[in-house]
Amino acid sequence: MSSIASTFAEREFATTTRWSQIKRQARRNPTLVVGIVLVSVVLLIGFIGPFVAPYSPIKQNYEATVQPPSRAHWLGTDKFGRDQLSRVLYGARIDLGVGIVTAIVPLLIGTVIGSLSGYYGGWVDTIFMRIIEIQVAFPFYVLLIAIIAVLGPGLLNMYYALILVGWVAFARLIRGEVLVSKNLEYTIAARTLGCTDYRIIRHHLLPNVIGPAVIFSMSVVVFNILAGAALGFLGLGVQAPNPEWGSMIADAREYVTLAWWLPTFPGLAIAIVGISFSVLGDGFSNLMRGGSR
Amino acid sequence: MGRAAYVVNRLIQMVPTIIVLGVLVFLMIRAIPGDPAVTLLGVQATPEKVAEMRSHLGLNKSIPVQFGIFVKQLAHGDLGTSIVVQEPVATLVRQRLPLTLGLVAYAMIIALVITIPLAVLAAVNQGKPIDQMIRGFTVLGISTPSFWIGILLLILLGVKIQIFPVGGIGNGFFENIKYLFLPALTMALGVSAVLIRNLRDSILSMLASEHVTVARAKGLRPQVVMMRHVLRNALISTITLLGLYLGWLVGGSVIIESVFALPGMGSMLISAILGRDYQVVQGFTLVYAVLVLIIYLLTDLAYSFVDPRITL
Repeated sequence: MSSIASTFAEREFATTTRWSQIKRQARRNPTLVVGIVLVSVVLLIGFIGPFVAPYSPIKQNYEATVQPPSRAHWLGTDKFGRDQLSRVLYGARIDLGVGIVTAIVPLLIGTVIGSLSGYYGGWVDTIFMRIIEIQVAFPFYVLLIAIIAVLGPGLLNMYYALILVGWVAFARLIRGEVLVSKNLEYTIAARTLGCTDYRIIRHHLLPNVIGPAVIFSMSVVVFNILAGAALGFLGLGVQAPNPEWGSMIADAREYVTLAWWLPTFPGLAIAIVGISFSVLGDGFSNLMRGGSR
Repeated sequence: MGRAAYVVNRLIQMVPTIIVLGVLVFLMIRAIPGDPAVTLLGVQATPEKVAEMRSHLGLNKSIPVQFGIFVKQLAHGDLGTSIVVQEPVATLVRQRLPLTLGLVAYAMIIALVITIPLAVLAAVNQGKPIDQMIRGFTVLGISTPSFWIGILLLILLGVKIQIFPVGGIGNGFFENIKYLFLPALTMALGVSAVLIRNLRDSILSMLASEHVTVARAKGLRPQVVMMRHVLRNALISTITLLGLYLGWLVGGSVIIESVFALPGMGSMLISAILGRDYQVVQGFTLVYAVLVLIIYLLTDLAYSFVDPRITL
């Protein structure tokens, strides 16, 4: 009995210390806390948005076109009488999805290619370096738009284009880190112990080099949400009548003189999501810097 | 190595890159699913029309032969002919490139004008409210879409308070300084957000360095220390970053030209994609890529002028 009681007490103690650790971390790094809270709220809105949206995002209502914000339509209505609030809420899924997926997939691809390229060198590395050189020559948006030109406009093709463009930066980052770390003592030790290359890369190198890439992925989320919205704005991304923030701003262009609410709210939504992920990224990089000190 | 030799060397190094770019751009138009001739003419086109279009585009020949023709034309500065506006793509580039270049240069100047004072202000007031405000501005600048900022500026300064024209271009250099101000400012805001962060950090690390302490100990006025000893050194990394972001500005101009209805290369590229004018897409993409290569070369040169320690 007493042993059980003491185990409970220990567990209790363990949780309180973990809590106090978290609290201490939070005090030291308020940016990270704010970032986590903001991103959680944004993600939550993305999940529950469609359930709480007061109207259908695509249902047209010609009785109430281009209405300013009111009690019935908090963010007003567009030229087809569609409720802006509902469209912004539904759009959250599309825009967040684009940002997050096109950051995670390139992170994975880039990690694999970057670590192989950095670890083995040789022809893998040579080919990779050539790809970088070519890609750097294209301005980001021109490359993106050129790929869309080949694949055709649309949401899925936008995903492909952003992934195709995005992995290179991650691979470059990981490659650089691996180049340095593969000659450090712990890697040499692992090799001396007879670890396989796979084990060395997977269990010894990657946990040590992936940090900067993960932090970088936060800015990629922001960046790609902006890029996705820009493509939607140009008519190359999500196609009508689907609610996407960038294309909503594009639709609002003809009404800028009459209806300020049409371009303002979707843009504000992008800005809020962008700021949330930026702050989270800053928080993570503070954490990294604190850890290395 | 002397500067001239360096430039020649770099130009030679650019050749293989440009060749690969050419191959990519050549393959791009062929990678479009389906028959480009049918895509261009629409599904109702008669077989004769399609065959005519195929031979016009040279698609009835084998890929290596097509590539040979493409290279030969390219060597003569021939980028093909636009199917929609019926004009040589090279002519369209000549008509539209100056505006795009001017816009990018204008945006760069505005970005520097915003960046330097704000970064200095933030650095010397480190941790104070003004620093926090400026850093808040940088987060905002990084996280908001430029085309949205552009539209808001348009509503505010073009429509509500009618200071600036709401789009298009004017006649001559001075009129265009006014016409292009809003688009250039829009492009500059995003870039200056990144530059301010960078310059602020390098000013702070420079302020802590020994040569600045010595300069202060000599009794130099703070302004002189800041201008001669801090800024001059801190600007080096900012200029490198600016060079990288110049490539970014060129890409961003595509979007901003569309927002402000400017007759540059970007707005035409977008309408060419939507109108399936593939010759224009192909030619313009290549021109953009070469432009960026040249910009990077110029940045490296500028770099050596700012910092004499850097040997090329």
